[in-house]
Amino acid sequence: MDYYVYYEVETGRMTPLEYDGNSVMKANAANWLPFYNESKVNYPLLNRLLAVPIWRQRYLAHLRTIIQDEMNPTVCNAMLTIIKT
Amino acid sequence: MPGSIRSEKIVFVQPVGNYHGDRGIKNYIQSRRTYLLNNAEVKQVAPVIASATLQNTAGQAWESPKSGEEAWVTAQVSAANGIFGVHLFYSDRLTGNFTAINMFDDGQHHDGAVADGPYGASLPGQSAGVSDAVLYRSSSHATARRASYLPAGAEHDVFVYQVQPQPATSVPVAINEFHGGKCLYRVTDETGDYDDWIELFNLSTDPVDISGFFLTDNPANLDKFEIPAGTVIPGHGY
Repeated sequence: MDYYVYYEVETGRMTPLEYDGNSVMKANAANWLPFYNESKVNYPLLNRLLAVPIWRQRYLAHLRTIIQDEMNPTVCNAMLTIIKT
Repeated sequence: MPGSIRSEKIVFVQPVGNYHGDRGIKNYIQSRRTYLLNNAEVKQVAPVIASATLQNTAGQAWESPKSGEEAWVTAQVSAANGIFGVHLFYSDRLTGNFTAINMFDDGQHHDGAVADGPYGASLPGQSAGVSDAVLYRSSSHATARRASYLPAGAEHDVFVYQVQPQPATSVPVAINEFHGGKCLYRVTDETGDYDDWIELFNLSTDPVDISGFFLTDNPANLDKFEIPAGTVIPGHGY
């Protein structure tokens, strides 16, 4: 998924703004590594953040949560059925 | 696509590789899920933060601390590969940066005995009315430092507790107005009568609890009227 990063001066927090989320639904993306493009310097956020162990583990912790919760077939399929109807 | 304005929606009839329709998207996501779960780093076992509890200084669980009082937080943490750190993040607001502090299993931080599982830490006192947001992070494994969070969705999901005002000792409350029934310019009270009344004003910015205080117009009877329980004047309020 592609995204911008918005830095909010008032709170000192960075927020990702995703776009083109549907474009990850390609057949060849099904087997992308969870660290896809991390070695490419023209993907600076992935390239630099995932090289820092504490940030890499934070990313993995939240990825596990998404896999276990949002991608859980019971939750995910019900949501897709609601969207379709 | 960035830089353009258009509306997008999920299109179920669009072929997604060999997947079609909503069943195709469901199958795609589950295929993706299976692939990710088999990734060597993803399937590493992370520590488990089973529970967390906040206590006030009286040792009461989930009871709000009072203004300026510390609060003790304990968390039950376990990990197959050993625990190399438990951190408590807190903030006095729901947005902005969190402050991180270490939690301990040394028997000196309301954590039970030494190395028995629960970790404890003290949160510094806050002003009354403040909502504090709290989250936990635990890491394990000597080199990988696998991490878990509680709540799992932290920092978007957090625990929140409220800080209560201190019982007033030196009360910053003044009699702001008063009216005697025999005054020259008589003013009715809220029920339309000409009874004696006073108006109280809280001079401070913090709420003040005046429950249990007394009003009287008789020096020989100082306990003539007790202000009912639960009477709190908001900061700079009446």
